Amino acid sequence: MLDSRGQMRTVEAFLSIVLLFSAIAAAALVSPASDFDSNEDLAALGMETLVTIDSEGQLGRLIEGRNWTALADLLGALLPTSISYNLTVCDENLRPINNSTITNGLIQNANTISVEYPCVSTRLGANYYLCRLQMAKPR
Amino acid sequence: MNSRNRRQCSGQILVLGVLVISILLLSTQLYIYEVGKSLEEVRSTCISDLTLAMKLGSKHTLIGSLANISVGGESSTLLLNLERWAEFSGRMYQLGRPVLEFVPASSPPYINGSHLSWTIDGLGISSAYVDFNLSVLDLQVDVQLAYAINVTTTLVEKAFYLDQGSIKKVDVTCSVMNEGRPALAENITVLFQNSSSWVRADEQDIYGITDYGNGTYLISFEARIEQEDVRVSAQVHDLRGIYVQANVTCTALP
Repeated sequence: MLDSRGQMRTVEAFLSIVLLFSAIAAAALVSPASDFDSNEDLAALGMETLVTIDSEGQLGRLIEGRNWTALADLLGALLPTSISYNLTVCDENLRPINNSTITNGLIQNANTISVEYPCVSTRLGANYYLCRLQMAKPR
Repeated sequence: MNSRNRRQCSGQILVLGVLVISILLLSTQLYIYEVGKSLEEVRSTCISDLTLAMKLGSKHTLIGSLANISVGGESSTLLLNLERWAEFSGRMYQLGRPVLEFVPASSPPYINGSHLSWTIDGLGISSAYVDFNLSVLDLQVDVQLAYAINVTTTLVEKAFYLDQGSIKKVDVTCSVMNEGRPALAENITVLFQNSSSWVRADEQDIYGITDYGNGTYLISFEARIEQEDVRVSAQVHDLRGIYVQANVTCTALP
């Protein structure tokens, strides 16, 4: 009788541990870490895409030529099809200069992140532009 | 008897309690470590992208400035553009505050970070060199990066001529390089000196240009040139818009 009482207490303690681990596991699942990673990956993808376009000065040339359609085509080709984007190009005084939208349609009710990329056009001296790329991935 | 049993059980409870608290502490610690690690990895990816963007912007600032200086712009253009670039990039505050410091090369042959040398022995150099120091502030860790950007367009010109009586057949070879590597030219203009004036080679009846696709161009033309010494000048814009020229006296072919 005395031994079974001790066993019961051990079982109770074991159950407590299981309960505790379950709680920790549940807390890890509902933590914002996974969501943060996803958003930051998206931001890194956006920056890398803009760096790729700008590496040979093409981004600056397209902006200087106000060739928004070609810029939209390039972004569409480099970004995964599941990702929606909207690019705003601002001049040195941070005023938007693209008179037509550079987008493939932002998804509503989705995680939207924004990255800013400074671009220098080498033509006609040096002109400075800020590219603000909003990106969204369906939940 | 009861009190003895209670004492035995309380020992077990104590051990279990300690075990639970230890596991709880370790789990929490592991969780914090994992979350912290993923934050660092992601942030370092973004920071490396930002530094890459800043390097690209710095390089493009040098290219644009040198393109301007090489066609007659003030040498102070480079300094002004660098100040604009540092001020503009400092306004970005997404990952931290970028602070860009720069020192244009001032040791010979550079003056205010740029150097133009268009010689009469067939070598033309248009160059700019600046040291940068980038700091990204207001992050949990300080990010410091020192880098140097060198933008140089070089033209090597060699020329030969064959005297055909009153007409001289001239071959001019131009090699264009960006930072020492073969590069393509946007346009090449060759002129030759006749008496005291310079005449465009492409205005002659017999003129041809061969693009070897590796930054080397052969320009051939025939012209009536009065003097014995045939002087030619090659003027080149590379694909970045940087201008360079070189003059050379042709070597006579037997």
